[in-house]
Amino acid sequence: MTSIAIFKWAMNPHDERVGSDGQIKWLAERPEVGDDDYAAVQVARDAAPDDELVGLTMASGDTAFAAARGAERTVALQGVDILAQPTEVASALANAVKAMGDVSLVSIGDSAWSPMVPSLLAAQLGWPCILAVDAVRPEGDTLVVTRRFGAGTQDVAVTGPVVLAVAARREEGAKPGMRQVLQARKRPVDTVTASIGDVPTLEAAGLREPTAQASKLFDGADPAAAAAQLVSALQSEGVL
Amino acid sequence: MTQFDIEYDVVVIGSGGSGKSAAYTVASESNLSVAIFEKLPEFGGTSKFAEGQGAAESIEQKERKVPFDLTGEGLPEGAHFPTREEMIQAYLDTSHYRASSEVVNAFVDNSGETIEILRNLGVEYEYVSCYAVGQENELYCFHQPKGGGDAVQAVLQKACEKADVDMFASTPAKELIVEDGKIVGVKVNDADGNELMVGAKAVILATGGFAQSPEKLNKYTNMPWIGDTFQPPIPGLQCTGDGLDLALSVGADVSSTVPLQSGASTPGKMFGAGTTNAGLQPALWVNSKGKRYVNEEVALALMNMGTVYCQLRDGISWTVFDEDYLVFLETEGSALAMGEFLQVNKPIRNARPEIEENFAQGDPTVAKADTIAELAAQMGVNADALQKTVDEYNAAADSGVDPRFHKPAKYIHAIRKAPFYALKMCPVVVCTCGGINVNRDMQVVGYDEEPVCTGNLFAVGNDASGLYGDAYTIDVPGSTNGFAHTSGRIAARKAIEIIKG
Ligand SMILES: Cc1cc2nc3c(=O)[nH]c(=O)nc-3n(C[C@H](O)[C@H](O)[C@H](O)COP(=O)(O)OP(=O)(O)OC[C@H]3O[C@@H](n4cnc5c(N)ncnc54)[C@H](O)[C@@H]3O)c2cc1C
Repeated sequence: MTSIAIFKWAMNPHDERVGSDGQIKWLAERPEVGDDDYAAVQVARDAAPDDELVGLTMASGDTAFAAARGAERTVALQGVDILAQPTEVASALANAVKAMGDVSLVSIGDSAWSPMVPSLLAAQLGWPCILAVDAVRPEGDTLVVTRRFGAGTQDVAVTGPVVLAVAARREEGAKPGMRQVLQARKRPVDTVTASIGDVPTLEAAGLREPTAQASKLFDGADPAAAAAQLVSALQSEGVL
Repeated sequence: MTQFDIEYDVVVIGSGGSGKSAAYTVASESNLSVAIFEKLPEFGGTSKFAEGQGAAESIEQKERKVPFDLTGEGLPEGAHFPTREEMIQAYLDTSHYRASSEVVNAFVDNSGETIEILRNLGVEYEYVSCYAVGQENELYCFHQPKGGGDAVQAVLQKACEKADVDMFASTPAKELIVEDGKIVGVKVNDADGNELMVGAKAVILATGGFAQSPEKLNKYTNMPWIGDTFQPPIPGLQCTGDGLDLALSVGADVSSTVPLQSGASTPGKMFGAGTTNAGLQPALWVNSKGKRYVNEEVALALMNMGTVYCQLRDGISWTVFDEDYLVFLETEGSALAMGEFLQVNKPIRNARPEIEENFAQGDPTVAKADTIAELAAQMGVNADALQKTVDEYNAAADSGVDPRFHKPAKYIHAIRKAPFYALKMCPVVVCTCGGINVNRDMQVVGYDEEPVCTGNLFAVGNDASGLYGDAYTIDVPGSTNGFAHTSGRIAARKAIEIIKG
């Protein structure tokens, strides 16, 4: 069986610059490593330590990210427009997964950059999808998936193929060193042309400017009262 | 023959503005391979904290035609964007011709292009003006990018990634590998502690100088005490002169004195802190003996002010004022401008709360008392000496004449209304400006002024000497940052030329 960890598949919205003249400019021209990608590789490896682990990416350039974290080989999908719709991205990824045959699990970052893709991917594969995944552990034929649930976590037992959308809690601790990266670059990379099925696309019906957040000034004459007001405002905004 | 783990055409050591600019130039202007090695886990160096770039005859200056008025009170008569010749002359004059004409001309002639390249990559410039409004002779060449140095480095980082520059963090360069008198590579240590041999046809040193090495500060500046008295502007930086050590290992010539870009702040606090903002004002400054030592108006000429603080052998100065002056700062505002941190004539609102809070916490850098004697006791200075200094200062305030240092009357505020305050200040070394001698192509040269190692070793940014004399007392704001980006590109172009033959 094969586990697939998907990485470098979404454009980073921080690379989108809106100039004072309203022009949009992208600083990058391909997907980049997302905050959750390292955790997605980790989860795929933990779920099936004895299975083959394959990295799947939509990026060009350095594709050794998953290999440097344990993937035996990498498949690089080519030909998907960088601003393709989530349905098209999910279709391209799903078709690549299907082409690999005996796949037991796909893990992908629970990306805030393109939040619809993990669920659409599961839908296209016809598999269950668990979102907000923290960690996994295999127990016999079952996979116990820990996902975020309310203020805590919940363990979900699944059998059969599944899409896990992983949300990293923190930055990657120890990144692979240069020697590991150089070794990873020697592992096989298959570059394949993406196949996008006949999927529905979304059309923008209109644009709305973000609502301007009014700033609020607290009168500091009574510091204790001002601090209390600030705390209560932060609580009501859900920050605290 | 060395066995390499990997080979590149060009290796850049350090990922600040100079290193990234060099690598981006190689990657975008040639088909050569290039890698950056960075010692810290994050890319960007001190360049992330810099504010803006100095340049002459840039596209921004040409389009804007007149400098931005930072005060809102109108530009001084004759204010204009400098020509290249004016900028070159400013370096030569202020360094008393100790600057290298080769390096100065190379930088200034290419400085405008830096702004254009950064702009094309996505940097937006908010204004072009001077930096420190009170520094009378300053040129209007400071380009302030939106988002400051952090935004500029993010843009360059993207550009490097897009151009497939190979970048390794937590991978310090340790040694140059030399064969038959030519640099053939670099030894680096990776994040897991493995030593790797990296082949290179050219090596560019961009390690950001040695502002975090007390030993080198004492050895290579003309202030052999500064390594013991300074504080860094930001914690966690690691510019320890590795580039200088590497260059010295292959016979590079080193400047006799390396100037410092410096400032002052309350010990343990950063630029922008309320105590620093108040302590920088041209009130009464006394040394650890309780004596006045300078015309405090120097505060308005920021770079000179840094030099003054650096001269203090024990690094201790106190800014002394009274309640009336604190109210003055809260209502009339700052006498000096300091980029984003302080604006001239703008009230300083964070001074009183921080002074009160720090004093209440027993912070020894803040003194507050109802008598000068008590204030002196808290400061640890001789009470009689301080009283004498205050008396003289008050006499100068009354007469409007400062016989000791000739400070203009408008900056002399009597110290009479209790409570009295004293804020401890210390020198801040922002960065070192040079060390390794280079020619106009940024090739590292030996004592004979010829390139070392057949010319394939370069030094750029804070590692390279040439722009200054023995102090950074220059009137060209944004010099070091403009130079970092520009010198990186100059070196890269020469490296491409050498490698391509
Ligand atoms: C707080 C602050 C504010 C500043 N503001 C301004 C300003 O407004 N205008 C201005 O002109 N200048 C300013 N400067 C000065 C600034 O240092 C320069 O402008 C310029 O950005 C230096 O660029 P650089 O590339 O030479 O060095 P850096 O940007 O410091 O980059 C050097 C890099 O090399 C790395 N390194 C060191 N040793 C090794 C090694 N052995 N192997 C691998 N990597 C190594 C360092 O970790 C660092 O990341 C400021 C500096 C500071 C600290």
